Formats: sequence, C-alpha cells, structure tokens
Amino acid sequence: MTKQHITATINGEEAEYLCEPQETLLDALRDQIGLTGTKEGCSSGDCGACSVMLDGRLVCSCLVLGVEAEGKTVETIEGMANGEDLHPLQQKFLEEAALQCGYCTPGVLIAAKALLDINDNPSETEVRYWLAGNLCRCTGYDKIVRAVMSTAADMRGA
Amino acid sequence: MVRVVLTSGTAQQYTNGKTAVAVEASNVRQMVKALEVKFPGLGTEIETAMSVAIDGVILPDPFLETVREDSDIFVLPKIGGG
Amino acid sequence: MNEQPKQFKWVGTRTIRPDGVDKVTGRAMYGADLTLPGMLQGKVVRSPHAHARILSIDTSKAEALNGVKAVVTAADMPEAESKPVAAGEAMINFRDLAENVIARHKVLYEGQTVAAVAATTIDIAEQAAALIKVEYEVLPHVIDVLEAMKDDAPLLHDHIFTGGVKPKPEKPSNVANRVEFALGDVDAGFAAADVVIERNFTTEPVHQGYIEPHAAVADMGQDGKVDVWCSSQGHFMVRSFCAGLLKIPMSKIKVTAAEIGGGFGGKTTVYLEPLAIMLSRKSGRPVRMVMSREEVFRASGPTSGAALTVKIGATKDGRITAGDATLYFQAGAFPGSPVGPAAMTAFAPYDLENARVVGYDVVSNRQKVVAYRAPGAPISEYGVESIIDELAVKLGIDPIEFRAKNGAKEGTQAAYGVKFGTIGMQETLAAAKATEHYKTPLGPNQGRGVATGFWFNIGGESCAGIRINEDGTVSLTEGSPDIGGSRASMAIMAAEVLGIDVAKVKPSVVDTDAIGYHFVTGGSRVTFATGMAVVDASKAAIDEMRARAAKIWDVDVDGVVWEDGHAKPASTNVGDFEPMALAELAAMANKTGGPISGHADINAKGAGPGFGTHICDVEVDPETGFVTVLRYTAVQDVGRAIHPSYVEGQLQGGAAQGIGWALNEAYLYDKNGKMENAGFLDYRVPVASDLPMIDAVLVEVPNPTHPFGVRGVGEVPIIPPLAAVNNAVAAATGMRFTALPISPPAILASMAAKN
Repeated sequence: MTKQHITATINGEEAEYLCEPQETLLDALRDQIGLTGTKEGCSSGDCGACSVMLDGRLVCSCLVLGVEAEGKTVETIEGMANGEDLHPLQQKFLEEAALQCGYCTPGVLIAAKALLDINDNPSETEVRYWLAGNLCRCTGYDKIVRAVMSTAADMRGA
Repeated sequence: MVRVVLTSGTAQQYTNGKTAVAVEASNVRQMVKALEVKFPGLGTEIETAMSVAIDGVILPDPFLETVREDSDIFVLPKIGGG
Repeated sequence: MNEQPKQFKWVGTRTIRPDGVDKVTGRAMYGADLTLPGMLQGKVVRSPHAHARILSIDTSKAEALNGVKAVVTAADMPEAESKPVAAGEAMINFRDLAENVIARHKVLYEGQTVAAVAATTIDIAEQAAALIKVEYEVLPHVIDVLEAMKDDAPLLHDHIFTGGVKPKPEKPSNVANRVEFALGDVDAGFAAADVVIERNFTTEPVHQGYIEPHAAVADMGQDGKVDVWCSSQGHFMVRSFCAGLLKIPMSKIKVTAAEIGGGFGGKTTVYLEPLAIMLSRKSGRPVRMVMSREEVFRASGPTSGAALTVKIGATKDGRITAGDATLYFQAGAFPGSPVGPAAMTAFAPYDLENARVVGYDVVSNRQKVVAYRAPGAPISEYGVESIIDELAVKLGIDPIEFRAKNGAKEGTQAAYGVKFGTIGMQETLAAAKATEHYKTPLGPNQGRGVATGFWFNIGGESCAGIRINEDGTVSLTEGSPDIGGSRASMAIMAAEVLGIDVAKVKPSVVDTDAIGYHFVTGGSRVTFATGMAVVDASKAAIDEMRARAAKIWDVDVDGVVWEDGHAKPASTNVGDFEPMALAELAAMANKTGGPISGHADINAKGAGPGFGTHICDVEVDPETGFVTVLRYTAVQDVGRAIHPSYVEGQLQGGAAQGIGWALNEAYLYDKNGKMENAGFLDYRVPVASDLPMIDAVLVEVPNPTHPFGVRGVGEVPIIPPLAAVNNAVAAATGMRFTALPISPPAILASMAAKN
C-alpha cells in the first residue's frame, strides 16, 4: 500500500505525516506524529478514549481515517494547556480528584471542553449525557461530573 | 503444647475431621514440622498454600513467629486480592 | 462530610497528586506509548475453538512473509513444572500458567494463544498470523458450571482429580477442588429457627473492564538481558513469572511498570510479556504487543460465573441461628477460581454460632479466570445479603437493624475462623442508618435496597527508599504500580513522618532493578503495606539524621530527638543547640558521613478487614423493565483516609462496577462456545448517564496495626452493590430475582410470568 501524504493543522501547528489509506486518525496521531496522549481503548467508537476535535467537532479518532484529516484542524489533549498554564478543566480535575488511573482522562477532557465551548451552564443531566460516550471504569463518574460543572461555574464567574 | 485450629475442609482432608489439634512447638516453623509428622501432608499444605493467623492477625509468611500455649492459632487458605 | 480532626498536618488532606499533571496533559506514558528504535509489532494467533487438541502448527508461510522477523509457538518455551504459585487471588499451577500463555497440546477456550508473530508493521503481523496453519481436532465443550460437573461432561484435563475430598477419587473430573468452612452445628441451628429461607442463585462471568487493553514492550539483547515495559499491577510478578516460564535469571530481566490504565485484578498475571520476550529474543529487536478490545474479552480472564445455594434461618425476633451455602464457581480453563475467598467471606459480616460453606472449583471451556476486585466475595455475599434482606422483610425488621443485631464486632469469631480485632461493621451500619438518604421517602415503582460487604485486605511484601537530596527535598522510591492515586498517599505519609512540606517529597514507582520485591498492587494492600514501608523508611532516615546532628553537636545520638522536621536536643541537659532542619542536615551530608537515606523492606502483617454498607434506590419502568439507579450511598470503614478524595474514589468506582455487574454485564456465548459480545457496545458497562452521584461516606475506625491506622479500602466497595441493587429491585417490583444480571428482558419476563 502506498502511503498518503497528509497536511493538517494539529494543535494550532501545521503538521505533515504519511499514513496508509486504511490507517485511522488515532494511529496516525500516535504512531506517525508521536502524540500518544490520545488513547486506544476499543477501536470501535464505544469508549471515547480516542476523542479529539476535528474541525471543531468532537469525534472518535478511531472511527476517522488518517487521510480524512487532510486540510483540517485537529485538537488533541496535548494542545489543551497553554504553555505553563493548564486549562481550567485540567486544573479542576486535579483539584477534585476527577481521575484515578487517568487512561480515560484525555478523552474526557476533550469531550468536556467541547461541551463547555457550546454550553456554559450545563445541568448534571446534560453533562452526563454529553459524556456518555466516554467510558470510565475507575471513578463511577461522580467526581468527573462535579469537576465539569464546577469548572463551568468558575468560567462563568459564578 | 500449642493448639491449632483448622478449617473443617482441611480437617476432613488431613486429620480425620478433627478441627482442633495440638502439637509441641515454640514457633510456627516447629509447629508446621510437628503437624507434618502427626498428619502427613498437612505441613506441606500449610507451607505452600495456607496462611497462619495468630491471635487474630493473619500472617502470610509466619515461620519465625513465636507461638505460646495460650496463642489463638488458626490455619486458613492464603488470601489474595484483585 | 469527610473532614479529619486536626491531629495531622498532611494525612487527611486533599493534595494534588504528584502524577496528576502528566495525566491531564497526555504526558503520562502507558504500556502502548513507548516506542523503541527498530521496534516490531507483535500479533497473537488465537484458537477459534472452545475445546480442541492441537495436532500440528505450520508456521512456514508466515515465516517466509517479507517483514516477518520471528514466529513463536509453545516449542519455543521450556516445559513448565507443575508447582503452585501465588497469583493475585488464589494459588495456581505454574504449568497451567504456561499453557495459558501459549497452548502446548490442547486449547481449552476460544481465544487461547496458540502462536505469536513479530513483524515490521502491524498489518504484516496480521497477515502473517492468518498464514499460520493450525490443525485441530475439535472436541465437545462445556461452559456452564453445573453442566461441567456432570459425570458425562466433556473432560478438560485428565490429570485433575478433585482435591479436598477423601478418599481421592479414581476418575479425573472437571471439579478441581472442594473447600469447606464450618462452625458449630447448622442442622441444630436451622431446627432452632422460626423462619428459614433457601434460594438458588446464578451469576454470569463479568470482566474487570479496564479501559486500557493489555500492552507490553520487550527488548532482549544478544547477551540475554531483557527490558520489559508493561501495563501491569505487579512488575515484580511479571519478572518472576517470565523468569520462571522462560528460564531466565531474574537479574537479567528488568521490568518497568508503565502507568496503568486500570487493572482491578485483571492485570495480576501475564499474557503478552512472555510472548514479547520470546519474539524479541528470536528477532533480536524490541517487540511491542497490544491486545485489541476484542482480544481483551476473548483472551484475558474475567471473574467466575457461579451457581450458589444459600440458606439462612432466624428467630422471629431477628437473630440468625444458622447459615449454610454451597458455591459452584467456574474457574475457566484451568483450576483456581476464587471459590475459597468467596466461601470465607460469605457470612463474615455476621456473628454466627452455626455456619457452613462448601465450595467447588470447576473448570470449563472459557477464559481462565483471574482476580477481580475482592475475588469471589461479591458473588457469595450477593446470595447471603439477598436472603438476609428477605428475612428482614418477612420478619418486619428494618434491614439495617437486622444486620446490626447480627453483625460482627470486636472479638467475634468469623465463620472462616479468625477472631476479629478492631473492626467497623457496626459503625458503618449506624452511619448508613443516619444518612439523609435512608430517611428519604420513595415514589411509585421505586424501591430501596441495603447490603453489607466484607473483605479481608492483605499486607505482603513492599519496600521503600527515602533519599534526602542535598537541597533538603526528598526522593521517595517504591515499587507498587499506582492504579488509583497511591503515590499521593505515599508522599503524604513520608511528609507527615519527616515533618516537612509534602511538596518537597517526590514519590516514584521504580523498576525491578531499583528496589526490592513487591507483591502486586491488589488486595487493597498498597496504602497499608507500601505505606508501612514508607513510614519505616522515613523513620530510618530520621534515625540517620539524628546521628548526623549528634555528630555535629558531639553528643550521644540518644540525646537527639526529631520534631517538626528538625533534629533537637532531647533536653537542656544535652546542650544548648539550635534545632537543625532537615534541609540544613542535608546540605552538610557529605561532611558528616555521606548521602542520607532510609530504607525498609518488609512483609507487612496486620492488615485490617473492611466492612461496607450500601444503600441503593431504584425505579423500575413497568413497561420496559429498565432499572434506573436514582440514588446511591456507599458507607465504609476506611481505617484512616490518608487522602480522602482517592478513598472516596475507591468507594464510588467499586460501587459503579457492582451496579454494572448487577444490572447489565455478562458474557454471552453461542452454541460453539464463542463469546458473542466481545466489545463495549454489547458488553455494557455503566456510562455516565446510567448513574447518579454516588455519596461516599468515610467512617474511620483506625487499624491499630498500622502507624496511621490505615485499612485497605479498594475492594470492599464492589461487594454490596450486587445485593443492594437486587434488594432495591425486589422492593420496587415485589419480585425477587435470583439471577444476575437483572437486565430489562429478565424483568419483563418475570413481570409477564406474574401476570
């Protein structure tokens, strides 16, 4: 199989990579670009550990082909902090202990940020349904949901 | 003499159903050796697959622990966890 | 709330975990994140049959494929000796472990490893795997535990003769072992009862469900030295098992524990590591192996499915007079189910004069089971707690009061034999009764269920090193893979003992070359045992620093005490010396004898058992049979919460797993013994929208054998939910279920039968 040459904007920077046509965006990010923060949990779009933003849309990168990112913008967990400063969600997750093993955390943070970008005052139900595609086996979701809502409140200045 | 209590399952296997047995010993190693002599196979079973509890404290590797006449000694399967 | 009295500076505070920033930024390295130069990708060839003899394996076409660098089968592994080894939950046979890593003569479950391939890309490895020709003689298979016990059931092993029975049977059987624990006289106890309830229950196998699949990288040089990087709950266990399986000296194997994405007991054994080492040895290159999610389900051990009969009798004023249970546990392809601990824990929360539990360890053609959080206990206690609930309802006694009346206390002789020391059973019941949750009224189609849980918790081997750096900061090393935030607790305990700011302590989980042997991270032991080692190591460092101050002051070391992070004269008689801070002593270390450190290598004993009481409210939709968990409270005696947030996290996470076990999770097999739901879509674990907030109430009854009173907490929380949910559904619907999971089709079928 001939590899395709792909140019995309990843975490705000222009990036180029080679990938096979059948390779997923998840594999391209991890193996071609070396951004291993995005995780593989199931490869069938059921667990959300591979969540990234593609042109501003929350997707499972295991269900997107690497070649589909041509000309598009991709945001991964590695782009969430700003230099020395963590994103408020990241900081809150640490303060509220909203992670245990941390494996689902990159996906959850990407998904949570996508929610807060469009809804600055989500109810508990809205947070739970929005995150229903991100499986967590360690926390029982309680502290994750609290951290997301608490961050929303902080960001609103509430 | 020290008094050792076994689970009923272990007793059925090695001591003809007697759950409380007595041997001469001042530490667990001696106790296990004495039990092996009196009830062949029991000592080996304890060494490989069981824990000893003395006065309520379970000791997975207890061979140097002292045992006295008034010690509450109980032998039970090794416990792990997940 | 769960706030602590102010007797400690750091213990009981909610510090930011030291590995936290790495985990929220994607910097943390997990098993599949490591890339080494020249690294190959490995792929496993798995049995498509549930039971078959291996007649031949032809790897020639695979070996000839361009890009394939090594192919291995059981022929590449030395024959293992038959000997018992400890493996997380139970003793297993080393030869069985070897067969489970790679099958030699027979395959005993669909998914069992038959061969493995390493190639330059994963695509080539997959193509090569497909080119490996295995000839099988398919044999009849059996999966259900009761079916497997029948005389005419297909026999998995002809060398298994039921253990624990006298006389030793003459015919081999699928019943590997029988265990029994008994106290008093159950027949007399039942005769004295006013009410006796007996029921048969079944549970299905469930998987630990960690989101991170198994992953390992092995890199062996031509000198026989090998580095292994893996996702594991115990890198010393990995070293030990690989050394034994492949006959490599332990000193030549260095295992580094990667950050781990969940384990829950499922990563207390080896699957990929020995294969990766074998492939690396043969190819002369590093090899990475990662399981797909499907492989995790088909080829890594879940816990047992079981059938059980439980019978309990009580007087009309609510005193239990006898308890009797018979447990039949699926061990999977090789012996070693958790039926032993299940039998020991079944009645453990109660002070009984008469109790008997008999358990059977039965092999069947499915994945070899491996530890899952409090192995065995959720199953046996589910049966017992469900009947306790029925008795309470029948006798018109509040379910918490009924349990308190019969509950274990200090001095109670447990049914499994040991007399309890200081425990918190009564305290958790009282705390549960006092919650606002328990008093809240319910609406139509809603019901409330209560259940308790007990787990022993273990101690075991742990080591710790405290090194005082020249600037007064501290490097703390230990070897317990951190699955839930334990590094934070280690730093807290060290800071507390040393008397310095916790921010100055950097904890690390180091590799097998850098520290002494640790038993696996499991058994709720890390905060207890590794914590104890950290405390001992800190005290040893303090003793060294006192000696240094004594040298500087030219006094006897007995004249120096340690207080608030400073060496001080014990009294004015010793001399009029200014206290010396740790940082000052550190700066002078090279002049007073060299680097300052403290170490401890221990086999921790005195682990205190844990008790929990959970309250669950459900609403059952009469049209769809769907069960909504409305409200959930988990109360537990946690000894002392070193870091309350991570202790609460254990209660919440365990409760969520138990809820999934009760309502949804199960392995479904087709008629060929092939798992049908090997993915997260159809193996349905709880998602965020399935659950309410889970209130974690921490009760502290300190464990007197630990310097900070720590009790293990991680496993107890998965035990009560099974019966708490079951009892809640019974209260909501008036129907008693005796099979898990209580999924909508089961509820609808029961409703239809009722009408």
